[in-house]
Amino acid sequence: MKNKNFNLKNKKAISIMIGYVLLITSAIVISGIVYQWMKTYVPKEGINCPDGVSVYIDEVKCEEIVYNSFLLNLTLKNNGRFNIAGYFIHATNSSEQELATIDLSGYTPDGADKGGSVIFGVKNFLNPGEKRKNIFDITLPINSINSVEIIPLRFQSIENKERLVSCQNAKIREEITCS
Amino acid sequence: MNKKRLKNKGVSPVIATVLLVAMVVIIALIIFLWFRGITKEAVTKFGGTNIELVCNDISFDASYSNNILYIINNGNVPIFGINLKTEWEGGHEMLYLNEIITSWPNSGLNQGGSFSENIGLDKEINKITLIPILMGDSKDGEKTFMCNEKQHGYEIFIE
Repeated sequence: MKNKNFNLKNKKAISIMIGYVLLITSAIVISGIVYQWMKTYVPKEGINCPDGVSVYIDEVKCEEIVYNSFLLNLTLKNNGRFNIAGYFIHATNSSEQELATIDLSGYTPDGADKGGSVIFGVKNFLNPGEKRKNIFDITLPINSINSVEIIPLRFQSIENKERLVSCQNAKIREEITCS
Repeated sequence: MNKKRLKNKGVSPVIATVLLVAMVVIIALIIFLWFRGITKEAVTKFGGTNIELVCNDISFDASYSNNILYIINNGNVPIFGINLKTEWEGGHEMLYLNEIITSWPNSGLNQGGSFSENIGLDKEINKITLIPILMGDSKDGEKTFMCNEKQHGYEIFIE
């Protein structure tokens, strides 16, 4: 009996080497899993326009051509510090409507098939201080315009890709009468 | 009798080791599957950014008058859908705008996109909360994600 107990005490479990290997392997595997999961939470730089982007409506005129059809002449001036590529333009058709949601981009040649935006070219063509005139040939179902809202757009290089960026901080609104 | 029992050996060391390893593997597998169930699968957008962070970049305006809901996406994150939480005295209801309105764009509201539609709410609504839904990528393909209501919900109070 004594002899047997002595033998049991001398028996080793897993060798120290295998113990270390298992420990390190499991630590590496767990840290790999945690890294894969956590890396998505690392914030990247957001898609934003620079602060100095600014535009204003230099001139806006509305002429009725025939009944329920009119031309909206809009001259936009870049009074900011950066070139811009174009703009989003939305309108309201009643004084009760708080938010401009009627997209006018499709009514001007610069906005045809541009995904709801008015774009001057493939680059940021409108330099600081320059003006750009667009004529919107508006017909039914839009029969009046009470105000227009404009958000400037810029092409910016993000992760080596040219992306069109909306400058929501430079949004402007102008009350007009067009009916 | 006792002496005889002491001399008898139990399970052989090889079988014991095999059993131990098998048990450890099975238990680890059970814990892994359980843990995977309780942790959320990472949904990402814009090349690997967690969609929960992308929700912070959403920028949209909304208003409601004469039963018409107006929404405009001012920001650079496309809004795939909107969950509409309507509240009245004594109750609330959650509606998925894409399901109740057929004119909602299939690809959602892209940059500069706008939406206006009569949503036909028949109750005396006090408050509407618009909760944006984004489309992201996951291991199983494209997946929608609803942003946090408290952080990203847009509240409209109706008088």
